[in-house]
Amino acid sequence: MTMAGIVTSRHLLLWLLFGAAMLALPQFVSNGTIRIIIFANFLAIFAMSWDFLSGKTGYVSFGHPFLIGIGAYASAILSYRFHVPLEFSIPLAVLATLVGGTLFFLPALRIKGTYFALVTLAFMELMYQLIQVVRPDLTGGTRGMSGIKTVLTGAAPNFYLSFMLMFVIAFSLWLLSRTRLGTALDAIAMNEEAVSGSGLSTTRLKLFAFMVSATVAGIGGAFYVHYLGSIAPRALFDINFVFTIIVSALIGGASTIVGPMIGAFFMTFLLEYLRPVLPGSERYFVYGMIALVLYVYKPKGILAILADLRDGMRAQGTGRAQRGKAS
Amino acid sequence: MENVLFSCEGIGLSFGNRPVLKDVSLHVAPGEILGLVGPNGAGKTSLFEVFTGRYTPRSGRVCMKGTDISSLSIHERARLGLARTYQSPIVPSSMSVGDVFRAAREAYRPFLSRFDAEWGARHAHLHVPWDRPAGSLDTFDRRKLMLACQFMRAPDVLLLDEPASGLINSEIDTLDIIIRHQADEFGIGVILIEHRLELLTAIADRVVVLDLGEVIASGRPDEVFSNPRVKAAYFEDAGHG
Repeated sequence: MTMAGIVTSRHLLLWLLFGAAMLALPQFVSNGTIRIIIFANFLAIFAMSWDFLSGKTGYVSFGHPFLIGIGAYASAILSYRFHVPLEFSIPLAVLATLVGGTLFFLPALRIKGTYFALVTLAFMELMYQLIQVVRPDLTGGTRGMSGIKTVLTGAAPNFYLSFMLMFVIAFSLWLLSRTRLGTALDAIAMNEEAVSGSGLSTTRLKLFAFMVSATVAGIGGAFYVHYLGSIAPRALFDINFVFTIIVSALIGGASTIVGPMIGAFFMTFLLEYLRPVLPGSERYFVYGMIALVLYVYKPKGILAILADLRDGMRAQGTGRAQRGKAS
Repeated sequence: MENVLFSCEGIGLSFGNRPVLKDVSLHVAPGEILGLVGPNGAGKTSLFEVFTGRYTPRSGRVCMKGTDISSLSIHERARLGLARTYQSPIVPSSMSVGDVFRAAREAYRPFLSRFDAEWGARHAHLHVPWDRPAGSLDTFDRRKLMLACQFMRAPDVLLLDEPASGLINSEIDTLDIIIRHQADEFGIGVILIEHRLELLTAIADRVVVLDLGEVIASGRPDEVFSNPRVKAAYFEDAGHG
């Protein structure tokens, strides 16, 4: 994998196959599995959102539920309390995420490293506490809201919707990362001073990355709440939720767009299939261990393992061909 | 002195209570190559960081082309035509040479063309296939790549942080030709850090010697290197004899 990502007809074919398989999927698997995949699709959206800011620029955000929360709550409140149709409430919620997120994160983007992570974590906690006490008549307080309008009903339609959403977002982010802005963002993670030494304002670049990330988080949050039909602060502003997002992006392969998608699917299925074996929060211990081991031995994630496998197969193939020639 | 391209006056810098630079002033004229020399820890690279804007000095000001640039940020100074290279030639290893050029060309508007990149590569004597991964280049080619990326922007002032480190003698001769050519042909003012005195006699028009954050001598290389104060500061601890 080079940084820009080389597109071949083979890649295109793989994507078409993947798309076709996903479209055909509801015919073959149970509704339960479909609902798991829907969650994986949403997790992939959140992981890509996190990855575009943190994976690319190296500014690790622990506060993505804060952004997702703005999107989800804004759309939920608009449609549930004020009966705004979803066609308007969702775009407005995305806008709210963009504006609200920028207002809060803008000062934070000036600080680096661990402090940035801590400040974003604080924002998430702050949002959690505020949602419960400020205007509970609007937010539903600790109990949240239920009976929120859904965009579509049924497992299969929601599956198609979430899949299309994930696919469009991934494709847009991929296009964006191939532009010079994408290259510059990758460069910030390598050496921020060298980037500004090349005459680029790193603050503006980081702001751009953040705004893209917030937009994606807002879209994801708004659609997610209208899929679930309910919202509660404890589920959303849960530290486990942040870690699931971050670990998905990291073990899939940070700064690659495909990586967070793979990671999200891996994490979701891991958590679901561990559920019967380990019903409690021990599951999180297992996934923490897996993430740790993977991160120590393959810091570039599952994507790097897949690339190794491919290269290994290719090397074997050429080896066989050469032997064939020799004999 | 009448023709000053880049200068600093009374630069003072300290980290905490520890002074790093004390009242440092120097200047460079168009087409002049100024050697900045001094033993380890003299503050040479710190002075570069003050020039580029990464460190904020406690006192003093930095001027370029007649205007005070002390309050400008790193990227604004770069856009004015202040270019620098780093001591360790780190290149993005996963990108090809062509990709590195593309990234540098498109760093800010107006975008430079491929011809500018080829021009830069020619002037940096960089003769490698553009599809090679930048990480596979040797030290000198990496340096040349970084230099080419700066040359194609046609900077006015070039700050080079130990461009000769890790190079063998024949490569240093080529490097001297590359740098001298830029200064003579395009009137670029060059400030070059080097801690080996003998290398500077061949390339520098003038040298400034820093020791423990202070300018202890400046002038023509042969004059300066025979200065007893320089000898004392330099040869005692550097052990060059």
